[in-house]
Amino acid sequence: MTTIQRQYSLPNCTLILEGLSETTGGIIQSDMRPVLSILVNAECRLAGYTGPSLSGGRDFFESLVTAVSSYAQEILSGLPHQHQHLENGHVPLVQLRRNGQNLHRLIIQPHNLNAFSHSASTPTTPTNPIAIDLSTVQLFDLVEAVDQFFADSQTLPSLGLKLAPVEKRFAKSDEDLVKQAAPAALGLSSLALAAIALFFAPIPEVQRPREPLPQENSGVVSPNSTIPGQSTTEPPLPPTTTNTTPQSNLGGQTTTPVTSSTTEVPANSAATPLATQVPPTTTSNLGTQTPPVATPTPEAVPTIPPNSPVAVQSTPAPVAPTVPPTDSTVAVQPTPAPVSTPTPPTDSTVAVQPTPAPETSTAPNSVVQTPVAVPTIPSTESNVGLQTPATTLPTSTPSTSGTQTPLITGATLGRNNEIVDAASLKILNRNLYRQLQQSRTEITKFPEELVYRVAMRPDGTVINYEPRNQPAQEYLNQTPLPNVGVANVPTDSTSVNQQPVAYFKVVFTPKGVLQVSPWRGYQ
Amino acid sequence: MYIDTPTAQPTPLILETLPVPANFDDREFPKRSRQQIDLILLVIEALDIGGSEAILSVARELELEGIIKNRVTLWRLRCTNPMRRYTQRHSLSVVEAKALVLIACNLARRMTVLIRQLLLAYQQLSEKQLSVEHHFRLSYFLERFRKHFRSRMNPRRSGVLAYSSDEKLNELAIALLGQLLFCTGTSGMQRFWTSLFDGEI
Repeated sequence: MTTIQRQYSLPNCTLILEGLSETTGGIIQSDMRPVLSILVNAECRLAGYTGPSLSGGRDFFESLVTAVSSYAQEILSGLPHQHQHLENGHVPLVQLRRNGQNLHRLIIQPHNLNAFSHSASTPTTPTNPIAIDLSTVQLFDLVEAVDQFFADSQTLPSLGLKLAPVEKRFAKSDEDLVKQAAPAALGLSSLALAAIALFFAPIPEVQRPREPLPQENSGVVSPNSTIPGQSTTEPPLPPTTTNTTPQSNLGGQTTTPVTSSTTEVPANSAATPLATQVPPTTTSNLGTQTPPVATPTPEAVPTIPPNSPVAVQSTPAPVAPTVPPTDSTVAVQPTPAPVSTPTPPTDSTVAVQPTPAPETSTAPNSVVQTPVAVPTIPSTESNVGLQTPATTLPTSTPSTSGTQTPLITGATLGRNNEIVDAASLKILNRNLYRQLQQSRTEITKFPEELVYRVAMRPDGTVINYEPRNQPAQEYLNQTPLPNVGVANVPTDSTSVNQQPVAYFKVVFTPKGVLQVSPWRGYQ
Repeated sequence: MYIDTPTAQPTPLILETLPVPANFDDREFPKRSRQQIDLILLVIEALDIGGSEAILSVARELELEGIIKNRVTLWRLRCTNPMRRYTQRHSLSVVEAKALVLIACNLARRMTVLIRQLLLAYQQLSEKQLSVEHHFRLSYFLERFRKHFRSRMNPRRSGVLAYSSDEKLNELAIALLGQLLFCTGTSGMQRFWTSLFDGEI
C-alpha cells in the first residue's frame, strides 16, 4: 500500500490526486505505474485563484468531473446539460454556470468541500458556496485536465469519459419556453382586454328585417272592403281635411297651371310637379262626402284665397328648384314660376282654364288607363277657382265621387290593395313630396343615399314607411319621415290592410335632395 | 481505358472512434449539426489563410479521400448547411459528417496555440473594455470571419438574419472559437461529435 500522487498540469489548472493502490504494487510489476484505485484527496488548483483550496474526497471529485464534462458539452452544443444533476433532487457539490458570454462560474458547495479535506489550511468551513469565474481558456484547461484524467487508465479506472447527447425532451431550454409562451400569453391577454372593453358596451338590439309590404297586402287584403271603411272613417276627418285644404289650396293654385299643362301634355311624366300632391286630399274628401260636399267646399274656399297668395309664393319656390332633379319633364318646371309671381291674377286665369281643361284631360286619361285622377284635378281646380261657376262643382263632384273610389278600387283590384294608376299616383306623389318638404327643417347631408318605401293613403296620410337600406335605417331620425306619418302603423293589421295604399320610393340623396317617385313607377 | 473504382469502399477505421448514439437510427443528419460543422470549418478558414487547402490535405492524410474526393465534394458537403446561399437538398450522411468532424478537430489541434492566444486577447480586451481593433491578430481574424460568413450565407435566412451586424458576427466568431478550443482537447473530437446529437435523439 503505497501512496500515489497523480498530477495533471495545464497552464491555468492543475489537478492533483492522492490515493492508494489496492494491489500490492511493487511485487507484480515494478515497471508499470500502479493503479490508483482509492482516492484519498483531490485538489484543483486554478491559476490566479487565491481563495480556500478546492479539495475534497471522492464525492467532490466525481461531482467536479461530471459537472466539468457536461458543461463542456453545453459549451459545444449550446444546450443545457444541467438537468441531469437536477433530476436527482439534491444540489450537486460542483456546478458550472454560464456567466455572461465569455465567463463561466464554478460554484462549489462548502460543507462537502472540507468534509474529506485533509489540508489544514481550511479549518473553518465557509458558509457560502465558493464561486469562481473562469474564462473560456481557464475552463478549457480544467476540462482538459479532467479529460487527461479520464484518459489515464491507471488512475481511478472506474471513472471514465461518459458522453451522451442530451435527449430531445431536455433539449428545450427555459428561454425557448418563454419565447414560445409569449405569443400565447399575448393572445390571451388581448382577448381578456377585448372582453373587458366589450363588457361595457351595450348589447345591440336585434332588429328583425321587415318584410316587404306588397306581399303582405296581397295575402291578406280584400280590396273591396276598403271603400266602405274609408267612407265611414272619413266623417270624423273633415276637420283634418279642412286643415289640409289650405295646403291643397296652396298646392291647388300652383298646381292648377301645372296639372293642367302636365296632364294634358305628357301623360305619365307629368307627375313631376310635386306641388300637386294636395289635390288628391281634396278630391278624396269631395268624393267621399259628396252629399255634404257643397257646404265644406264653400267653407274651404273662402279660407283659401287669403292664405294662398302668401303661402303659395313661398311654397312653390322651394318646390321648384327641387323638382328638376326628380322629374324628367323640363317643360313642366317653368310653370311654377309664372304661377308664383302673379298669384292674384292667376286665380282668375287659372280658374278659367281648368274648367275646360278637365274635359279635355279626361278624355286622354280615360283612354289611356284610368280616369281616376282626371276628375280629381278638376275638383281641386274647382276648389281653387272661386269664381268658377257652381255648375262645375256639381258636375265635377259627382263624377269624382262616383268615379274616384271605384277607380282606385278598380286599380287596386288588379294588384292587391295598391293604387297603381298613374294619375292618382301622380297626385299622391306631389302630396307626399310637399309633406316631406314642409316638415323638413333643414337640408341635412348624408354620407350615402337613403332609400325608404312610404305607404300612403288616398287621403294623403302617410301610414307607413320603412328604410330600404342600411344608412336609411341609421339616419331615419334625421329625415322628416317620422314627423310626417300620422303613425307608423304596422301594415299587418287587417283594418289597415283593407284600405287602398299607394307606395312611393323616397330618396334622400347624399347632398340632401329629396326625391319622390312611385314605388313601381307609372304604368 | 477505364480504371474500375471499387463499388463499396471500406470505411476508414479512424471513423470508428466516433460512435453514433444508439437511438439515432440512420436518420437524416440534424440541421443544427450540419450548420455547426460548417461554421467550425469556417472559423478554421478564417484562422488560417490556406484553410480550405489544409482541409483537403488533412483529408488525404487521414485517408478520407474516398469520402471527400475533391474540392467540389467538400463544397457540396459543406453546403448542406441550411444557412448557405446554395443549400443542398440532400442531407449529410453520418460517414461524411464523421469525416468533416475528424478533419476539423485535426486542424484545430494544430492551431491550439493561436486559438488560445486569440481567446486570451479577447478576454483581456473585454476586461479593459477595449474594442477588438486594439489587437491586430484578433481583428484580422474577425474581419476574415465576417467576410467569409457574408459571402457564403444567404442573408435572407432567418438564421443568418440574426447576424446582420458586425457585433453579432464577432460574438458568433468568438463563441465558435471557444468551441473550437474544446475540439482541440484530449477527447475533443468525441466531445464535439457527441454534442452534434444534443437534443436530437
